[in-house]
Amino acid sequence: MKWPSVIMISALVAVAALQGCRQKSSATDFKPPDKAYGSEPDWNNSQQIISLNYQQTQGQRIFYSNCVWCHASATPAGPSNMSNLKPQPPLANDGATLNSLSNDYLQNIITLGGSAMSKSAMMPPWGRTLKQDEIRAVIAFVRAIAQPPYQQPARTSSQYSEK
Amino acid sequence: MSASLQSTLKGFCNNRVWRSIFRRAPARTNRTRSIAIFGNLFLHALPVKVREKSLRVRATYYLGSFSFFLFVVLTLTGIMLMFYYHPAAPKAYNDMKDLRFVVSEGIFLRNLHRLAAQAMVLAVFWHMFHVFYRGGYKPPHEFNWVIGVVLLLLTLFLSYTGYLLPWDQLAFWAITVGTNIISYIPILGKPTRFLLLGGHEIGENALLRFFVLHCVILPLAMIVLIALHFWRIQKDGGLTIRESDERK
Amino acid sequence: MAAEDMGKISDRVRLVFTISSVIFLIVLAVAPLRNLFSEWKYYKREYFRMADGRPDTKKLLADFHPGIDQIWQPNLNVTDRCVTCHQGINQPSLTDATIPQPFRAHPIIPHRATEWGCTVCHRGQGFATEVKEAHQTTLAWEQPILPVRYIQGTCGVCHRTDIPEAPRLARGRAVIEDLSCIGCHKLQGIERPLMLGPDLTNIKNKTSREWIFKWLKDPRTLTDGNGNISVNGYENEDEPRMPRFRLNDTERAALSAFLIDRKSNLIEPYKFDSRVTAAWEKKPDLVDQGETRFRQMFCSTCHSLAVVRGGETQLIGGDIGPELTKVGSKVKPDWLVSWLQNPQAYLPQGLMPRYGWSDEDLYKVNHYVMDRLTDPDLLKDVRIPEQAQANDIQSGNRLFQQKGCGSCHVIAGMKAQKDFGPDLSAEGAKSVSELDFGAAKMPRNLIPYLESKIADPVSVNPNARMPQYHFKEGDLGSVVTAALSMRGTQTTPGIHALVIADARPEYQAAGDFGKAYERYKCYVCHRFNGYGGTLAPDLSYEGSRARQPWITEFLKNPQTLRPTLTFRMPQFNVTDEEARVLANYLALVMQTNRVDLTAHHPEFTSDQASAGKQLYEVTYQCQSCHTIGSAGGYVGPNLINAGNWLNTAWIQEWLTDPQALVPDTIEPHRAFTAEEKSALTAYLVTLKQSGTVKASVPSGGSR
Repeated sequence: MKWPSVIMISALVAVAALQGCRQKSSATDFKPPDKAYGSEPDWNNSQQIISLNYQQTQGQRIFYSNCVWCHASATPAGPSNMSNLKPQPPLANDGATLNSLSNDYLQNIITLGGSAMSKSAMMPPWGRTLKQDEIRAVIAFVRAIAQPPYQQPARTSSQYSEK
Repeated sequence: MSASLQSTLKGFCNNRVWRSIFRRAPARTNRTRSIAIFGNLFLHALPVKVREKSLRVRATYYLGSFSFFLFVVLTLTGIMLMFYYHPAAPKAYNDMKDLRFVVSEGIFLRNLHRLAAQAMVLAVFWHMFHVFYRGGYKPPHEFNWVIGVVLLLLTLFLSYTGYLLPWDQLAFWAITVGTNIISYIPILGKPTRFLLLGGHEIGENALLRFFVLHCVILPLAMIVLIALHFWRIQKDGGLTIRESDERK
Repeated sequence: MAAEDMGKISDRVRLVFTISSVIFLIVLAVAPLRNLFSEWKYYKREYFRMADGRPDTKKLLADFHPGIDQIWQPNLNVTDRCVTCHQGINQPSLTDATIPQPFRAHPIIPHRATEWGCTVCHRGQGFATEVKEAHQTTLAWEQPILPVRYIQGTCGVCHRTDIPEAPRLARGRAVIEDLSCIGCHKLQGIERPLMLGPDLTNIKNKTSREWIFKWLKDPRTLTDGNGNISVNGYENEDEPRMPRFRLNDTERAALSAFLIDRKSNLIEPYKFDSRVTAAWEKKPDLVDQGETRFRQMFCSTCHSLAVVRGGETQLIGGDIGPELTKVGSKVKPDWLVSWLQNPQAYLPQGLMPRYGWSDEDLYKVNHYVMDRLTDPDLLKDVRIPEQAQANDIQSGNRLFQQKGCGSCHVIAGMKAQKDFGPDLSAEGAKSVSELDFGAAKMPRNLIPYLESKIADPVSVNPNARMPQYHFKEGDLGSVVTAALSMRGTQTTPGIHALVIADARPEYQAAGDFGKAYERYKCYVCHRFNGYGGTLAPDLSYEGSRARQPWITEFLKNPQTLRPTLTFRMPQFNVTDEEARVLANYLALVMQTNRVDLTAHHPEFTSDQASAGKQLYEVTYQCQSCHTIGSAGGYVGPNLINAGNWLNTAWIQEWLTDPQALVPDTIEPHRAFTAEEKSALTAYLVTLKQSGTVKASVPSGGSR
């Protein structure tokens, strides 16, 4: 009765050895949790929902308290101020106008106001009311909802951003 | 062995250090063999001669030896686990997590201990059934059977006390159920529960008591009784059976 | 065995021994090999490789070492080894979305990850160094990583007051308060208000049994002939404040019989002034005039009406009081008159202010409501099953307690019902063993349980007494978020010490001011030193802001300050004396030390005023947000009467730093020089609208 015990022992050994081969499979099975921290319906097509990450959601919040009154055609209070202003400010999701402006430019115009950037003085400076991080968050939100969509500009050096 | 090898070895062993450690020369005659066994601390409890029949696998399936082997494994892995384990209420659970994730070979160590414990329970039961099957309880071996039963209970109790030590939900509720059952024993039930838990609830006291039971009291009892168990076998004539019962 | 055979080992035994030794060694190698090729080591190597290829390698690898990293905070019970794999958490150059996980940096948040650990916010198993064990529910660990959509729940564990960075949490808490969950459940951080559902002691005087029967079927407003529903309460959309209970017709008949049968104080029909009756009884435009008056008094600030706009039915108006589209078919006319004259006589805890009605106004508005805000088909389909009266009342009494009506509605003489539903103040901390999944098929986890139970209680427990709610898009997630933030008393002393308690300021107004304040329920809309509603401006600094004559005038005749608002201050018809008392109190007490009203200002010159006008219109273009008269922007208040309205010192201080006075204002904080400030103030002070400082009490006779 040798062979049955030999077979059994080798089977046990094989099973034990194969346990070691299972490590990385659990990593590939893993599905990351739901990414959307917040969401915003597309202004041009309310059926489409744009997912927002943490920074963009903070930007959404600040936008809807400070900026929506002039930079949107409808506001939570009802009518928008946009039509009262000459020149009319761009809609926040106006990709055609805003996509070509760099993040730095937007940061400056929001911080310093329109007159400091040779634009209309109707745009107030927010640099002392909002923190720089908050302004960055608003810009991130504006990029997220832009139609046509915003593309991050290509970099000349390595594909990873530089600090 | 060749002559040159033999003389080299003899020369190697022919110094003061060697002779102070290994006092006798290798035993070659039956008389010196007996002296070697009798005079050795670790071996003098064992018989010098055994019957050839008792060495066959089918005589005992080596179950008793296997149980003892597992006990040794448990002791050694248990001691190694004790280096990482604090028997304190929240720390115990954290230590188990550390063993699982941080300690090199921590999983292996813990699983060895756990598997050996489960295998030992199986082995001692199997050993008991086999001894019964082979009639090893018959006179003059009756008291040894009793010792064996006590060893079985000790094994189970060791398993039970060890169950609480990871301090997780499984442990907590298992011990809750068990000690509540104990409390239903008439007269002695409630005091026994109180003694075991060190109080009315399962908390830090219970953990500490179970730890001491598991690591000190029960293993010592076990060691003494195992020694007695082996001693009894040897003194009652070894792993042999009477001529009248022998199977051909 | 012969003596000379001793020591010889047969070949077969040697073979067995050799093979088993080799197998043993191979098996023994499994454990060290698994250790060598563990997951976390793989990720460490990957990070090293990634960092090598980047321009800022040195910075990325400054803290790199080949062992396990952990964040250890014993007072928070945190031992988080997440940073072993997530090595780029604190590296600002790795924030880009193209960086592969797990190396991406954490978004910038108000708390430093290395100080707090990860599991404090994200839950999951911090001890683990394996992917599955750290993130998911496994045999040995029940709590998976919190999905990102619920992460704001853990903000709420410490921040018991709402913070702007966690809007979903605030929304969830608001929804829970609106839907009156506190009626049946104990909740953390939510106090039971004085009145949940209206007192039903005298409901017999107010409405009919048929109406109650229909209401119990569907406590929205009442459907019209086409089955269209115009909604009630809960922010002008679908969910009414009273939930829809699972009742059958017999039970409804019993309950309505029970409620109608109560002994109640009879209402004396009010005798209008005979001159008013004579003048208005026969007028053809009585109801139209009533509607005008209704509109002028801005009842719509608190009550909404369903109107058809652009082809769809919308609720226009506020949600502080019930919607009134068909109230004329609901209430009895005598009741309505007595209610309007003194709401607190019927509902002692009610929030409706006691207007100063003139007989004429009361007559007109009463007729308007009873004639126009009606629906003759409202109760047409109500069929109450016929049954023995006595049985109905008794079973109605029983049902009232059994279904939990007593949790929200009080009836004089009945014992108050407590703890109808389980205590949820530690719901977010419950472990799986404490949840009753019943036979429901879902992952055995807290979050699926909460989602299923709140969305559809019957799916989890077929005998559930909890009513079925229909949530707006996203509100179910918000409610789950708020529920997750309720973890009861913290067992970890570290976290317990960090909890920012909910600061609910108390404000008690006393004396003559207190009488007027209570009568007109100012606190429902306005805040006073932190206490009150947010619908209207915070009056804590009103004395510093506005001039007393202006306040007096405003109270008697609330004007438009902001051009686009739907909700306006109603016209309460305050008496002159009451207006004087209120304005006096506001002007003297509700001040801030930042504005020194007694400081002497030099007279402004006309040069300064014209310089100010230049700054206003050309340099800073304030008209982009403010109107003067009819020209300008809609964002800020109308400044046409700024000279009569605002104190000079306030204007100066406001221009210096608006957020210091009103923290959430969006007036931008500019860096004006002292001259610019003086010039602008000089200009604004010249803006006075003539003829506004007069008492204008609308037509109407005695009060």
